[in-house]
Amino acid sequence: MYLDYNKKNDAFVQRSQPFAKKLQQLIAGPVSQVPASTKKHFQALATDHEKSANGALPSLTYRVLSKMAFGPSPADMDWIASLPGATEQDRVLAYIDQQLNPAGIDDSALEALLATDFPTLNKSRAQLWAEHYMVADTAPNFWEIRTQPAWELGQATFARALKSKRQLEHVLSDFWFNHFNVYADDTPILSMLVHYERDVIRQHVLGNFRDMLMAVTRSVCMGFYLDNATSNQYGPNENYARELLELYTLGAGNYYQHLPWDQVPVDGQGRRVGYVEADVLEFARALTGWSYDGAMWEDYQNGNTPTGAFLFRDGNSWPMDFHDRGQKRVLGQYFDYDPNNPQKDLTDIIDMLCEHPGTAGFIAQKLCVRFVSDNPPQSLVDQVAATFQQNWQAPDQLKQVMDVILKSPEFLNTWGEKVKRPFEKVIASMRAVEFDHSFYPGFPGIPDTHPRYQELYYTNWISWTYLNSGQRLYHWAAPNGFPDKKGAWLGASSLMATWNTQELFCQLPLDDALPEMAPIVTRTMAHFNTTGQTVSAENLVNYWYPKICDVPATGAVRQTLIDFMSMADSSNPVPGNPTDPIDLTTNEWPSYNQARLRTMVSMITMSRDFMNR
Amino acid sequence: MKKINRRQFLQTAGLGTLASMGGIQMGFGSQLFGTRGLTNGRDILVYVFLYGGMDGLNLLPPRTGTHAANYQDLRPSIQVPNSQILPLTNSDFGFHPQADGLQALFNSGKMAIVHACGMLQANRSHFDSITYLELGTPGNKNTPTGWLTRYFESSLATPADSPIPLMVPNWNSPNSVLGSQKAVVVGSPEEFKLTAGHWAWTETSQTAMEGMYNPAGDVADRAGSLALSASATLQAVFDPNNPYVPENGAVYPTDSYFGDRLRSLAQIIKADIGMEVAYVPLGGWDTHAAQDSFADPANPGEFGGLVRELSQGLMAFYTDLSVSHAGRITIVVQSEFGRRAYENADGGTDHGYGNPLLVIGDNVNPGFFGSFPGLGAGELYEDQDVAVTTDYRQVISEILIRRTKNRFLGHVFPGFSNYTPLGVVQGQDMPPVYDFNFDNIYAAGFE
Repeated sequence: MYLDYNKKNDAFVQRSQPFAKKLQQLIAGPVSQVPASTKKHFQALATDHEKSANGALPSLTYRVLSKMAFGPSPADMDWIASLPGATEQDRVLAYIDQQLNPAGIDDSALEALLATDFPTLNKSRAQLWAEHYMVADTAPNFWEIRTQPAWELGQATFARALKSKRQLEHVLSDFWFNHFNVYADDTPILSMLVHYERDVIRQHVLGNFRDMLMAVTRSVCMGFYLDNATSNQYGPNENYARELLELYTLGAGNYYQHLPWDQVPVDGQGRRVGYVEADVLEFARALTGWSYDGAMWEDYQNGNTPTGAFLFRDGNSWPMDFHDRGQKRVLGQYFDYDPNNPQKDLTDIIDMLCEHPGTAGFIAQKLCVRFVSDNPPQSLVDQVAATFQQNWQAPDQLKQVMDVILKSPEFLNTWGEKVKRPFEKVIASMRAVEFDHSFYPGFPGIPDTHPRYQELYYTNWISWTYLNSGQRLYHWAAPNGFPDKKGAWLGASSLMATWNTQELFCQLPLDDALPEMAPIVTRTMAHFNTTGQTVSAENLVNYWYPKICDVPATGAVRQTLIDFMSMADSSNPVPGNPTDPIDLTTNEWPSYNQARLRTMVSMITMSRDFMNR
Repeated sequence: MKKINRRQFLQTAGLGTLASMGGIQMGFGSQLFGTRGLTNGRDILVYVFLYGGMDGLNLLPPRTGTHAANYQDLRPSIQVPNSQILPLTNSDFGFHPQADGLQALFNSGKMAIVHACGMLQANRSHFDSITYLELGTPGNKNTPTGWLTRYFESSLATPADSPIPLMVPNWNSPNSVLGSQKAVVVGSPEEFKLTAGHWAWTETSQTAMEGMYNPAGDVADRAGSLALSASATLQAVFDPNNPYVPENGAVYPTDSYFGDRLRSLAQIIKADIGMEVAYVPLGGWDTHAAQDSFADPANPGEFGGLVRELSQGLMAFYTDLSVSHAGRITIVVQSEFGRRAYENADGGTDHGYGNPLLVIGDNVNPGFFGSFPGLGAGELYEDQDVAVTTDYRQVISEILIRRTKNRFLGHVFPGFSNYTPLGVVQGQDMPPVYDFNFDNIYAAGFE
């Protein structure tokens, strides 16, 4: 269940195989040779290339949308500009207030689309269990039905990131899902993932941390993933207890390893400041019996049909006698079993952990790393931690925490401290070029004659191209979630797969008879018709680069893009005159003007400048 | 010695001339760089990391003697049945029944096994342990660079013009290459290029992208630049018109990323483009529940399946390169920790401590090294785990000094200062340098 990335034949890869084949046929067009002269030209440019950050800083609106949203779309830029406020900062602060109250943002257009196309998204925990996990393996399309919730959620997450007006809520869902990461590679996680993302994580992202942690503890996905659902007093499984301390609450920084428990330092309020090995074992005992109906083989015997509901196994015979009723000592405090309130030993420990300043500091640091910088200023972390700790029982604890972060000068003023990870980069570039797609997920057994099959085809195509980016959604095998520091995301493989995705969707549907899915040519022609400027390579770069990066192109980057855009013959790609007019009404051999423009625009989304966030 | 720089290399080997490179695959580097090739006959280190905590007691169970009796007591329901343990020459230990490839390597004198090897300070967290090992600083998670990053910073024997000296066949960067400008992290080298745009312009756009990233810029700029040059090199190696055929009857496991990655590495090694170290992941070893099944050898459990994948993969890789690169490959197999000596109630094992470390190659001194601390009462670490009796840095250091010729141990493993070779591999010893801030030029004068 852990770092299992050697498994090759998982459901999604299998699903994508037929599409992969078609894709290869589609792109296997004539291979053009790049003449040596062109190569030399580009190589010469590369050597005298200026440092990418050309000194210009994108606007506050652009920066904020790159960090608390999945990138600036023209619509969101316009929306912020339309908000009341004397200065840009006032309008941005008004936007932050709106985002902190997602229920007040009308997202009904997206929700209507999702409700129609993604039927599993509104199913309850019990329905997901009964209709998907428990589907008979003799049923037609059994595997597709069983995995349908995770498949739909994966596509819906693309659609939400791209189109939702509640951007912050989805950015935070991504953060907290990864904080409490589960790996969507096995049943029952594949069937129950919709419940986990929606009810366990997203419902609480601006609510209360303890509520979220308790929902995680009661969930099928986590109970299965870290084995707690089968952990029992006869041999407690430490897996969940250990990660709960190390990854979810106190953090590894407060782990005192093998120190005797009574030697761990005590703070001014009498708390042990960290945990030791003995605490992991004792905590694991307290967690025994926290399970779900269907976790054990016996749950399926004697005509019983398990429901997937939370199940506290505190009875007197196997497999209902899992909970250890003895006294537990965690962080130096003793927790007794109360027959009148048998879950209290565990919930008291959880309370202690959620109130603990170590938890506040750990979560504050992690949130600041996400929103501000890989090395956030300690003063901000301390301020965020204090808000987290003082409000640990408040129903809007996490909203108050986010309020502090998002309105801090450190958040508003920093830029380029982080790079976009693959998902953020793909979605941000989709938003920048106004890519539109339903991410229609199809349904189990959909025939290829179905009227919406072509839409599913694009969904799969994007999904398949993105697969190797290293940030395939819900597919980080380890409980620590996707890495959030720059160094982890600069691998060649990750960059290349992301670039390929960016090149792909800018060209879709790759059929001149159909409307563009990203209206690149349409927008360009409208703009140049209005301004009356010549549609030349130079003017196209001058138009598109700031539109996407919010700063002008300079130096070798600008020259590279102009040279590329000025090539008139794809079979002999040498730079032409940068001021010559380009006819964007045609997409004919050998100039393929429209395809070239779309490629050039995708290259801007692949630039060093666009990596910043 | 005349050196060729990266730009010149790309002009020779890059995209546009792919077709003209057709048919050149084996020894492709030698043809570009003259007779020395890029590895110059040097050793190649393949480091296999088993993520998740591999259960060394079931990979390499005691078969006879006191240890075997204790083992059977500790693991009543998940032990490898004694009759199924594959015997090893002159040893009380044997291999798991799915590890016939490893057994063959050991019994033919190509493997050294270090008992109870690991970090001197126990830590049962995956993330801490992996981070410590990958950073090369047990006990310190704040080291800004990975141990392989520092290996290359201090490897005077590595040609400066190697396009891909350090290969990580994976989608994500491990901390072992944190901060490296040499590491190429590539999940699938065969498909490593821009292909997804409009056919008429995609290839041209990849060439043009060279102008978008500054090889002398910041860390992100350099990453973009490195990705593009690695792509050009790999495209020349993985020529679709010239499919790779493993040699000497090597059969890689199918339906296995691990098998695919070793196969690709063998192809890269034979192309001689200067790859010197590969860091290969194999995950899935965190077997807390129902870890194995021995009823039907054709259908092992989760653990047995992984052992089979590991064993078949390494056997195929060794065999494939055994003639063309005889005496030049050293393979290390390590996990972040072993598992609890006794089984848990779920038919699995929880996180433990000491574990065997395997070294495979023509230059090993075959057999067992270090000492097995025992499984009896009073012998287990904290009454739970196999203790650690050998600091893993001793073993790796010996390989660095004797095989890959890097003696700057204090730079690769800061704080390490008592190199005492166990004799795991053959080769010339050099006096280790324990200073972290060694002076490259000064040191070079003494080579």
